[in-house]
This record gives sequence, structure tokens and C-alpha cells, in this order.
Amino acid sequence: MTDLRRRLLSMVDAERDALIDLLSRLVQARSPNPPGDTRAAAAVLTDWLAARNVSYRVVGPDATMPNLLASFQGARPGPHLVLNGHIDTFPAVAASQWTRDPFGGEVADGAIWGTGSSDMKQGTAALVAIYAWLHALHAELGGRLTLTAVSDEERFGPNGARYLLEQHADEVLGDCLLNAEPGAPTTVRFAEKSPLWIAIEVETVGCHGAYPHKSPSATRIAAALIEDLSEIERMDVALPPAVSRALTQGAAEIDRIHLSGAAANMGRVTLNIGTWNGGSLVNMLPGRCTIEVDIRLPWGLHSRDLIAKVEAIVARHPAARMRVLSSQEPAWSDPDHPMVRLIRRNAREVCGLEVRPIPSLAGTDARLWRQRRIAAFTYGTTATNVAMADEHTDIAEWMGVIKIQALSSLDYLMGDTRT
Amino acid sequence: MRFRDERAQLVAWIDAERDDLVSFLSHLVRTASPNPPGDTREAAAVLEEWLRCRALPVRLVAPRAEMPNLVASLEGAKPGRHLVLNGHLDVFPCDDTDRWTHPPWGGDVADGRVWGRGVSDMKNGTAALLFAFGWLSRLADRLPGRLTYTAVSDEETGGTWGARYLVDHCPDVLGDCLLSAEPGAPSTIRFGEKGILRAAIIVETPGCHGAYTHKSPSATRIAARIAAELAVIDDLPVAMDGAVEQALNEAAAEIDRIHLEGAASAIKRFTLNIGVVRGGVKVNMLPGVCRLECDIRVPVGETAEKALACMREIVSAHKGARLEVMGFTDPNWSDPGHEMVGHLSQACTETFGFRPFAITSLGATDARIWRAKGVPAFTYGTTATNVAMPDEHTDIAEWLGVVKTLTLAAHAYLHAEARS
Repeated sequence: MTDLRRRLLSMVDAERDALIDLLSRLVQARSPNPPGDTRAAAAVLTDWLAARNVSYRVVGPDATMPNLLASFQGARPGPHLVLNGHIDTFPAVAASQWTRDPFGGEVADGAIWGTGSSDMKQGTAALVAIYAWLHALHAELGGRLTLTAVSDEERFGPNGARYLLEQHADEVLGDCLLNAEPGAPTTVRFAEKSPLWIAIEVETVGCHGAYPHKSPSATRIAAALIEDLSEIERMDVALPPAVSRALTQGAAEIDRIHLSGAAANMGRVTLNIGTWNGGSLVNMLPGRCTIEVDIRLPWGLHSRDLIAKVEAIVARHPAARMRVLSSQEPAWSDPDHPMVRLIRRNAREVCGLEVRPIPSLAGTDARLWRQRRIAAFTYGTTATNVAMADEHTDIAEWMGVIKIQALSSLDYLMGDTRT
Repeated sequence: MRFRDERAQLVAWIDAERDDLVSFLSHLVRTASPNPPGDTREAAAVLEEWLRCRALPVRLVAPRAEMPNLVASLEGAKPGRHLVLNGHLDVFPCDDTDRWTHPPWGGDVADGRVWGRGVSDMKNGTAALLFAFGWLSRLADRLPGRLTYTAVSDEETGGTWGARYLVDHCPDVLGDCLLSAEPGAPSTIRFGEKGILRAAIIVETPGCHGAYTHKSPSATRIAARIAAELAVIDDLPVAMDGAVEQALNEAAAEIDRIHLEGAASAIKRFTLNIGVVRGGVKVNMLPGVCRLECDIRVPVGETAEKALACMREIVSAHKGARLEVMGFTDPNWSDPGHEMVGHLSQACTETFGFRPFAITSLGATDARIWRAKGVPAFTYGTTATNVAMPDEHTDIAEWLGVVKTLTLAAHAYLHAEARS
């Protein structure tokens, strides 16, 4: 191990308690999206950078949704690595089922607890810390390192990573992206399924609930439509060979970390009826009902195929209209890219972990880089109770992941691709 | 003054005070009282002021301050029967303002109609009975018996703080007969009504991130399945009392005419309305909770329990789903041969020139609360025009006919014992 790598690891060890405190405070600085106000959380991160004399900029079109942007040049030419994490979180769910304060940032039982502690404040805190450590070593580094900590990820909104890639592309595209979304430390994600979000609105005349012959019911039409939509889960999919191979090799690990059924889900279209709302009073027959649908496309399908299929189903119900809220194409990076090899090597060296390249089920901002043909990889801690009660991050696991992320970033900047 | 002269006098007053009636109704519509939230204080104040200006005794019974019930009573000149008039102050909410061509809370008077939320259900009826009470009070020194006017809150959401509270705590509002002015149509007198079963179905699963659909069953999709299966309620077999069925069959064409095609069939069977659906928080989260609120109407002769048993069977087959009964009322009816039906029929014939049918009603009214106490209760009102729909309105000419019919029937009922 080179001296530089040893020094980096000792920096991580020296700041262990400070890191735990950083994540705890970051969880306390609640940033649920919606509404997506991340100012308090962003301030926790900028305080960390400022205390270490690391300069940064805050950019973005919405003052309540700041994006942190920082970049430095090493001492000699080399590849440009971009680090990416998000500051916003899911809204707090199932408040009654939590055994801890959802925004307490409690440190207990070897874990840090709270909304966003896993998705992905642990990852964003890690990348901010890694950026600061490497910044301290910049005179000895090659290449260029850029840090992006963004808002508006949970809704795939326009004010975060999308804004950076549209307005600051030359700074944030780079040669390779490392993202720290949670998944499992035994996997590096080189691809992700692509979300297609559709809103369906059913409109009928509506009337008094005692006179159901006067108007079709928007809620009952919506129920029938939801039943019909299950057809899309049975669509045939022809996976690209590289993806198919990785899926086969990673199947057991995928099912272990994401529970049984996950590997099968990766290779097919999935349907989630995320919201279903209609009516205002039990004894009025509803004239309006809305459904928000979250479809995940595997590789090899095009969003237009799915949109056409959903349109055909919606067309069976004349009172229903649909609107595409967001659509993207599934993309993937080379599962044998140097960054993948570095992560695998460092995981073996530092934690004794065998890491497999697999696709991801959830969407991350990494897709935005892949869609622009930049190799993008996600490596992070286990996704523990994300969007569920008692979300948390295991501290020991997190420390190992931080070391693997830090070393792989360093190695990449140094042009080290030994495996 | 003889009986016939009194009737002529009442009709003359109504004709003379037409403009007062219309502007009062318009004002009452502008005094918005949607339920939920059900705050009717301003609407009650409009009625209270009207009564006080005429030196008529009035009291408020308000177990919930924002949901007052107004009671006014007058004694006739000699002993007799006690007739109670009933209307409600609250109206349906309005969440579709964009679909209206007249502002829902504007009380517009245009094209021979008064427009707005609640004008048909039932501010026109509540106003009609108030004015009837006022005109009959001018004859108090000649009338036998007692006349009570009630205008209640909380009708649209079940009546706990309105009519039900009143009959449970103020026995003087029970009387010998109840006359309600809920809308329906002037060609029908309603002697009974369908029952109601309101039940919520709650589906709970762990829920998870929307990309991991294998991790948790979806509360929304289970709920959609249940909603589809509940359709069998629409086809449950019905056993109906012979006399009621005959009355409904005779009136079938008229029922379809006034309540649109399909009403005569709906009146005789169970119907299902899934009034409210609430599921999920966000498009990319797999919902762990979904709630369906169902409103089932039970035909006369059947029981709410029959529909409930059917729901229980469906819901219990789905893991994570449970049923919560929000409330139920069995179908209820009074004697279609009761003398009030005759008085209304006679007054309607005099006013409109046609004989009305005696039928049961599709919708529920507070009349059921009097029937449950053993008081015969009857409903007569205007056509239900766009109730709970955009552009709810009341036709002024028809309404005046209904005002006359209600006033004359009340007058006849108070006099009838002495005359027979």
C-alpha cells in the first residue's frame, strides 16, 4: 500500500467520531421531498467543508434547493472523477411504526437512525468527507475531482442533478461518476432500471351517492383500470447480453440483499400504484379520481413501448386520461470498467468483501450521467429500511464503505488500474 | 275565517311575498355552510334573525358550537296535534368549482332559477318551511294544535350533532307527525327511504420503495382488487314488502323521469358507492396504507347486515385488509296510508293539477330519525336538480308550488282532527 493510500485511511480513522456526528446532524436537519427544502441539511455539509478550508459554490434555480459544487485540479493531468450524492430524503413514513425519532439522528446499537440516514445522507456525508480529505492531498494527486451534493433527487426534479448537467456540464460531466446511494457493499451497480411515471385522471359527472345510476363512478373505473394495468408486468423483455450475464451471476447476491424475488424483478417490468386518491365525502359519488403509476423498465425496453401499452389500457376506459410525468430510457455502463475493478480490489483488501457488478432496482441520479455516455457507478452501504420505519445505517459497515470509496477515488485519480 | 278562506289567504300571502322568498333563498345560499367542515353558524343566524324580526320565539340547541340547531315553536288557539317541520342548514362541500357556470356560493338568480351549492339540497326546503311557519303563525289565533320548526346541522355527515341530538335531548321536537322538505320531485311524496351502510376498508401492508415491488404487497392494488370484488353488492338478491314493491312499480316511470333512467331499478336493489379512496403518499413509494370508504344503500325490506356480511366475506379473503363499520341505518318507512299523504296529495293536486305518487326515496334524510322514534315522517320537496353536482339549482316556479303544497298540507293537518 502506498504512503498516500495509508495516509488517506488514517484520515478516515481519525475522523470516525466526527463522521458519525456529521451524519447524525445531517439527519436532524430534515429535508423531506416533497417539499424538498434542503437548506438546513446543505448548511451542515458546507460547515464541514468551511471548517476544513475547502471552497465550494452553491448553485441552483431554487433557493430552497441548493446544490453544492466543488472542484479541484490535481498536480498533474489525469482523469476527472465526479462524486455525487443527494441532500433531500423521502418524506417521513409510518410515523407510528418507528421505534426511534424519525428525525432524531439517534446513535444507538451501533447504528445511526432516522429518515434519510440510509437514503442517502450516509453516502452524501461520506463523499463530502472524501472530497475534503483528497482536497488536503491535492498537491500529490493527478487528475481532477469534483463534488456534487444535490437537491431534488427524490422526485427526479429539475432543480438538482439535472440542473447541474444542463447548466454546468463542463464541470460536472467528468470521465467517470461515483455515486454513493445505498444498496449493499457486496455489489457495485453499473445500471439501473428506468422509472416511467404516469398520472391517470378519471373524470365523470359525479353525483349524490344514493343515485349511482346518474353517473359512472370515478373511483370504480380507477379500480378497474388498476386491475388492467397489471398486464404490463407480463410484457416480454429481451435483456442485452452483458446485463443478462451480470444478472445471472449476481442473482443469488441480489436476492440475498434485496430479499427473494429481487433478481426476477430486475429483469422484468414492475408496476407500483404509488398513489390512488378520489372523492371527498363517503356519500358523494366521486367525479374525479387520480392514480399515479410508477413503472420500472428493464434494459432492452424503450419507454415509448411502455407508454403505448399503458395508453392502450387507459383507452379502454373513456373517462380516463393519462399524462406522462417523467420518462427515461434505461442505460448501463460497462460492468468491467476500471472503477468497477478498483472497487472490487479495494473491497477485498479493506473489508475482505467479494463485490459483484449488478444492476440496481431503484433509480439514482447516476442515470443522468449514463444517459450522457459517462460511465457511472454506485457503491454504498446496505439499504436498510429505506422508505420504511426505522431507517438506519450500520456504523461499522459504513466506515468500511467510506474507506473503499475513498481509496477507489484516490486510485482512479492516480491512474491506478491494477486489479 | 273558514278553512277555505284561510287556505286562500295563505296562497295570497305566498304569491305576494314571492320576491322576499327568492331573495331570502339567494342570501341563504351565499351564506356558505359546506359539511365538512359543517360550520353552520352564519346560516343559522340568517334564520334566527328572520324569526326574531317577526317576534317569533326561537332557541338554539348547539351541542357543538359551530353546528347549531334552531327550534321555533308556536301554540295554536286550542288543543290539537303537534306537527314538526324539519330542514337542514348544512350542504354538501364543493370541490369542483371549475365545473360550474354559476359560482357555487353566489346564489345567482337567473333564468328563472336560483343557483348554488345546497340550493336544492336543501336550502330551498329549509327556507320554504321557515316561511310556512311564518305564514301559519299569522293564523295562530285560529289554529288548533302546535307547530314546531326545526332547522338542523350535521345532516350531510350523519346527524350526530343535528337531528339525532335534537330528538334525543329535546322531546318537544318529536311531535305527532314530521314533515320534511328534502328535494325529490313535486310529483312524489316519500313515505320511506333506503337504508345506509357506511364502512371503511383499510388495507395495511409494510410498504416500501416503489422499485422493490417484491418486498411488500401493495395496499393500493389490494384495495383495487377489493373494490372490483365489491361489485357483487350491486346484484345481491332483494326481498321486498309486497305493498311497497307495488307502489314502486306503479311509480316506476315517474321515478325514472324525475331521477333519470335507472332510478326505479336502483331504488329496489342494493347499490355500492366507493365515495372516498385514499392511498399512498408519493408516486415512487409502494403504499403501505389504502383506505376505501363505501356507501351502500339498502332497499326497503332488506337489512344493512346482509350487505355487511357480503363485505366481510370479501375483505376477510385479503391479507392486510380490515373492515370498519362507520355507521348504518336500516331502511325505514311510515304508513303510506297515513293522513299526511292525503293532505300533501290534496294540496299538490290543488297547486300543480296532478296527483303525486307515494314512493320511497333513494337518498336518506333526517326523517329516518323521527321514524326511529315512532313518529310518522313524510318528505315532500322540489326536484333534486344537480344535487352534489355542478350547477345545482332550484326552479323558482316549481319551488313556489312546493312552498304552497307544504304550507297547505301543514295547515290541513293541524285542522284535520277538529274538522273530522
